[in-house]
Amino acid sequence: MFRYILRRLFYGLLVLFGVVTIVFFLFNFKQGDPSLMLGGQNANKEILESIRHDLGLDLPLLLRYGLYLNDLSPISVYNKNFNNSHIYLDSTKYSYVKLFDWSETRTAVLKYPYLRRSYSTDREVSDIIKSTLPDTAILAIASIVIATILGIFLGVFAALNKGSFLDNSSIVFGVLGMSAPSYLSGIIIAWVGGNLWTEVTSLPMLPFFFLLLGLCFSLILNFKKRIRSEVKKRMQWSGILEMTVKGFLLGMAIWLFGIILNGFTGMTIIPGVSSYMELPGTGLEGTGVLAERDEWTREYKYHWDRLILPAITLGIRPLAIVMQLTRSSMLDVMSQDYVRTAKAKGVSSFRVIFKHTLKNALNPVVTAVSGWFASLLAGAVFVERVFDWDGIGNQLVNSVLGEDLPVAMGITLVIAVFFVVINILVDVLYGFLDPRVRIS
Amino acid sequence: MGKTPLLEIKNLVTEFHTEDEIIPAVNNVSFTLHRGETIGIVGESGSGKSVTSLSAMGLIQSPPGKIVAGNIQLHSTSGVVDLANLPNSEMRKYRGNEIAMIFQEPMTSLNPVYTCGNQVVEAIKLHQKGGVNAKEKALQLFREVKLSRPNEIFKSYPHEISGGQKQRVMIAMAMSCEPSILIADEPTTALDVTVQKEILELMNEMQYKKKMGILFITHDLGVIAELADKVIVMNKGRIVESGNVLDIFSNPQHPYTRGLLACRPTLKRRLKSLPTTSTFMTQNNDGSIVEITDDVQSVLDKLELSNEQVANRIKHVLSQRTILKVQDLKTYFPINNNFFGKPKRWLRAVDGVSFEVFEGETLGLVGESGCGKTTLGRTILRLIEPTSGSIQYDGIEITELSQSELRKMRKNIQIIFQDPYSSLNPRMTIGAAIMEPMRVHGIFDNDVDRKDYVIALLKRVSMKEAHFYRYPHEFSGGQRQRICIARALAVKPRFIICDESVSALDVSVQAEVLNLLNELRDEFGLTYVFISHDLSVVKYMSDRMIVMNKGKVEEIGIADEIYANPKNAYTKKLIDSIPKGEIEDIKAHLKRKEERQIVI
Repeated sequence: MFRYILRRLFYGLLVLFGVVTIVFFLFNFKQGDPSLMLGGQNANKEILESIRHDLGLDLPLLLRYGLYLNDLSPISVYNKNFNNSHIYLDSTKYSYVKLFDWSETRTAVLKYPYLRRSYSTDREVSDIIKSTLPDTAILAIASIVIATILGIFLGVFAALNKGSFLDNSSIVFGVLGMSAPSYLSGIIIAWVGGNLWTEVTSLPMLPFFFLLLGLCFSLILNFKKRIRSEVKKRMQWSGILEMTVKGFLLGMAIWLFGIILNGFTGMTIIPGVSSYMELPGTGLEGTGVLAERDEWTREYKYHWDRLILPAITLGIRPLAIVMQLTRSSMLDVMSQDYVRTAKAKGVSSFRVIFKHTLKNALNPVVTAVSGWFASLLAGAVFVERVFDWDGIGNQLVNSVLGEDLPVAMGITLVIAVFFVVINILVDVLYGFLDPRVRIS
Repeated sequence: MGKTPLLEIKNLVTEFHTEDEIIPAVNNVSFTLHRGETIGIVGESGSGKSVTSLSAMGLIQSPPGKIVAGNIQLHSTSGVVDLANLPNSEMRKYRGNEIAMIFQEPMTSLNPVYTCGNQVVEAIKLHQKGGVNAKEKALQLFREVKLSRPNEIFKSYPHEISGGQKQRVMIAMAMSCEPSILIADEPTTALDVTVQKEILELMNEMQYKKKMGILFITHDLGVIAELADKVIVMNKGRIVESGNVLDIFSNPQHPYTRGLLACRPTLKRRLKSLPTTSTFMTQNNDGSIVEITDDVQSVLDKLELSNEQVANRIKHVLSQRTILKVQDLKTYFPINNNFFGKPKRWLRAVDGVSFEVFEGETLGLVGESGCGKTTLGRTILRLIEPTSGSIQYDGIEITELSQSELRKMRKNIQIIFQDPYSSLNPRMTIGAAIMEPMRVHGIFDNDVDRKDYVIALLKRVSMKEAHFYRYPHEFSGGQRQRICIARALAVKPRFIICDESVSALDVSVQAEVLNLLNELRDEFGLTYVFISHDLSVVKYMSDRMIVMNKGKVEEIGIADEIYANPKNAYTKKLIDSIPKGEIEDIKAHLKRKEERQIVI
């Protein structure tokens, strides 16, 4: 196993090297000239020339590629004769550990990979990534969690009720969810969730939340009942409706109670009652920054409610895919001989489904989830753009528009690293789920 | 010994409701299973034998299946219950506890993601309350079913152990709660004969120890003869005959039973062609049976070849020229790769095999699973590339042919595969499937001629002209295998490799297909390499045969001589393991059983 991981890491490095090469030439072959962007409208030829010289853009392409690799490599070469330049190593550029002298002017050093500085803000690219990555990660994790839990649950449910109305509608939802582009669904969700519901109905968060809770509960109860009886009855829609309405009423009651209580006492005893669905990207607040610094108290304030709509938008597609995969895979596994063996042992239906069937059915789901997680981490460019979310996807778009090559290349590389690492993790997870994959 | 009834099935009717019709899979079946008794249920696919047992377990998929009428009375320690009308939650108490079941496919019947130990422990914990050390009990069961290294098996996953070991684990699991009834649904069909013999012995022993009633379902009459007391013969959902095992074998009353018994290729006689069930009866569409003849002996005598005829045939074959010459053929598969993907260890599937095939003969190739017989067959066609060695067909070295030359060569050598269900493209009509290779090899100038030829071929393999436009799913397994044969013949080959071509078929259908293959050989002047795991089939078909084991040739020679006088220990073991279904074997097994009961 260890050797296997080692080999995968080695292949991963090869992949990264390929990505660096492709990304570098892709960004440097293009027509645009960053110096024009930086110099501004009034810059004359000399100023542009000096900017180009500063950035090392006047050097031959292959040499620039070599220098970029030198910056990225943990073991690199240092040239004392150059100072305060972006190109060669100098003492101020980054911290390093000296290894040995290469020749009279050159020294080999050990350091972290250096992604250079932004052309436009002069911030270190690694800093920019560090500051934007957590927001993207939170968004990605939130949406993948929604997608996985809900998707597996709905997929199992659809498989157990094959051919029912619910099953068919799940297929329709799956097709819709997979085929709707995220910029379209993002705009629709932002409009419905942030605009219609807030402005027209002033829908408070809490009853809405309980409505969902009621729906989930009714589904679970119905689901358990159906497993127990094993009689193929039609879905009891009246029951679901009843639970949903009850949940909604309960939410409303708590909300009213909370408002009265909070109003009388002047304290926030029950939280959340006054949080309306004010959401970013809808013209209501105009920003998608998760943690905002209060100008007066200098403290960070987290706006978790801003996470809801982008997470749902981003989660729809993986949700649809996870659901479809779980459904088909469950149907496949349920007809396997070992499921019949389990039944013949006298195992309860609930255990047959969750112990003997689901674990076998999860393999394709794991692949899908992890693949999607990697690409969500890579920054959901469209969704971040629509909701103005301050993540790496948004940053990447901005840097490309501003011809800020080091930022664009740096982010692309980080994304590649994510893909490689997550793929290796998935292979390890496979072995955990399915012992047949646990090979040397 | 007084007879205690365990399971009484009365007038059971199980139906499958599909969109357009109702299929009565089990139609008015009644029988009683007593303590210490083994009932064998025999029948071909679709006879309802498995559905009967699944009905008793309450494992019929519903919908579409449903028990419509009848009772299944279980005499348990706490009284008599009718399993047919029991809700699922109640049924669970009896499954595994009172009635246990083992299935046909040990490869897929164990859950691949849990260890063998885990799965047996689960069964123990389900039905036994308190005070039982489940792990101890499971290990003891493993020892009882004679698993070597029980501690290691306990921790192994199903894919890490062999088929025979898996079936032992299944038996241990079924035994875990000491059920009074064991239902075994074709438990040895997927196993090699030598392993089958061990498992059957084990089941006999377990029954004797635990005094269970066993319901043994199989299509193989030979197996039934080795362990049943009573035999029930089923056909299209009905019981056609039932009775004492000795009576059924020595004096079958029903024409269907006679057909079943006669159509098995026996090891003793040399027959010109095999009788089939249709020799003895015809069946109308409503399932009613019309008898044609009741004299089994005279039918067999008519078909028997004299010693002189056999000797002449062998002499004739040996005098023919060599059509295929295989020398020191090796086919290795990499099983372990090093860091850079270079193979470190090899699986020697075919390991230095040499033989010759004479024109017009049938060369049998027999061996157990994993012996390399299928790889050998495919290597001859270069569907798998050989590692080294030489294959000469008609003087041409096949291993040195280029891809385009090889394609031309494939016109002469055809192969018929085991599974007629998956070897026909479901989206292609029968006619298109047969005409495709003809077009590739440029046989006839136009499609009109080709079609005429294909229709003539279809008629030759007892299909109809109208079948030309049908799709594969409309046909039964036997019909599909006929279609595959017609497809192989379409390019006018001289040499055909039959790779387990009849293994997936019912015995009576198998007999028909074997007869057809023999007729075609004489008619078209074909040469066969006939590959099978079933020694009796190979012996019936072939003039000479090769016994393979672990990639090597164990014995090669004239089929009758090898059978009568095996020189090799492995061949002997193989021949001994075959359940032969002779009257003497039945008597022997009944006598053994009686002796045991006296000991009690």
